[in-house]
Amino acid sequence: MSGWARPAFLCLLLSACNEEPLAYIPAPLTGREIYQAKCAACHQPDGAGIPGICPPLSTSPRLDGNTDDVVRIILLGMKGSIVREGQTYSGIMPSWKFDLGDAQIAAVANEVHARWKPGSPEVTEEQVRRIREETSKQKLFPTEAELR
Amino acid sequence: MSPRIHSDARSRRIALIITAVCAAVSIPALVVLFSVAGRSASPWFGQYDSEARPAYDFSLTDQNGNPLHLHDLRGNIVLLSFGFTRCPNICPTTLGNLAAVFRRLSPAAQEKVKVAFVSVDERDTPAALKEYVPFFHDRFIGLTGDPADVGAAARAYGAFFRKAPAVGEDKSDYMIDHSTYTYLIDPDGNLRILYRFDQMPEHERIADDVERALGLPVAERQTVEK
Repeated sequence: MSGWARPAFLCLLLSACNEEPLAYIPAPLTGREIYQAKCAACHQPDGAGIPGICPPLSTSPRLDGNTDDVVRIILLGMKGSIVREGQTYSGIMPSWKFDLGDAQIAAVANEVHARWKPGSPEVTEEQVRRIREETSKQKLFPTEAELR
Repeated sequence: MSPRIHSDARSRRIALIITAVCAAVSIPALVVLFSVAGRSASPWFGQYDSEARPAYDFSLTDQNGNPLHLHDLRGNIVLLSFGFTRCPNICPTTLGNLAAVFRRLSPAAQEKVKVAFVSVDERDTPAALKEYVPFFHDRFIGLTGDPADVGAAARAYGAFFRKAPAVGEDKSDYMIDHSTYTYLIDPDGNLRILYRFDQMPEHERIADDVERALGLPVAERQTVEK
């Protein structure tokens, strides 16, 4: 761009920026939106995972147990080897404790349970707050054995 | 001078001013339109630099404790990112996405692609990286080094990092704020493409860029991941 055009271009660009709505900043609020934004790339939109790479959620034995387990994994992430349906998975799941608030974690945990383990007890914001506090000193990315 | 001549001269001046104002407004607008149109016509998904700019030739240490310079990887595409192994979310997500991109490449392309993760955390030893990078792909490279060398590399690529204050009493338990770009370096060692963090889930499109940068036909790429 020539010298004369640059200031004009910047001027137009800046004025365009001023008009930009704030909507482009993602603010997922529902459990489904949070699932799509944070979980679906690995666990897939249908919860089936990617064989050998990301374990499935739809058939996860974690959903059979105490809902605290799911909340703990969302908060701390997880690493290391696990076996699901005869497949070995060895990777790292990110920790979402810094990205998601208590209500958002409750919402996405409820979304996962509602879709693949309907009838599970509801995860509450207070429950997430309690587990966040309990795990605040724990290292991120526990292994499956450390989660037990 | 008659009033008529005065009036003509004034009209001409007004017409000239209107023309100048129109030109001042429309020419930059056209420049913007053409630039936007040009951008949307680009075959590249990432922010592509058509000018050949040599990427900074870092000298670091890989996860096996061996020295590695960028020029050792000449002839390959290098997908480079900066982070740290204790990173809760950005780094695992970026490396997970890069693994997904890698798996989507044809075997021929995979042979010519190196994914390198530079730790900006002095706590990350080669041994820590040796445990960490295979969580994403066993062919990924983890890099660390003298803080001055790591800092120089980060600065050269425009990557930012800063140690965040420790929250608890344990001063060694801290996070690092860092930028989240992924850089594509072409086989000739030029820094070609920049990917924002929010672009990284577009595995297919990044794989297209990689194969195009390798001069491989994109259509022949095998999708090995659902």
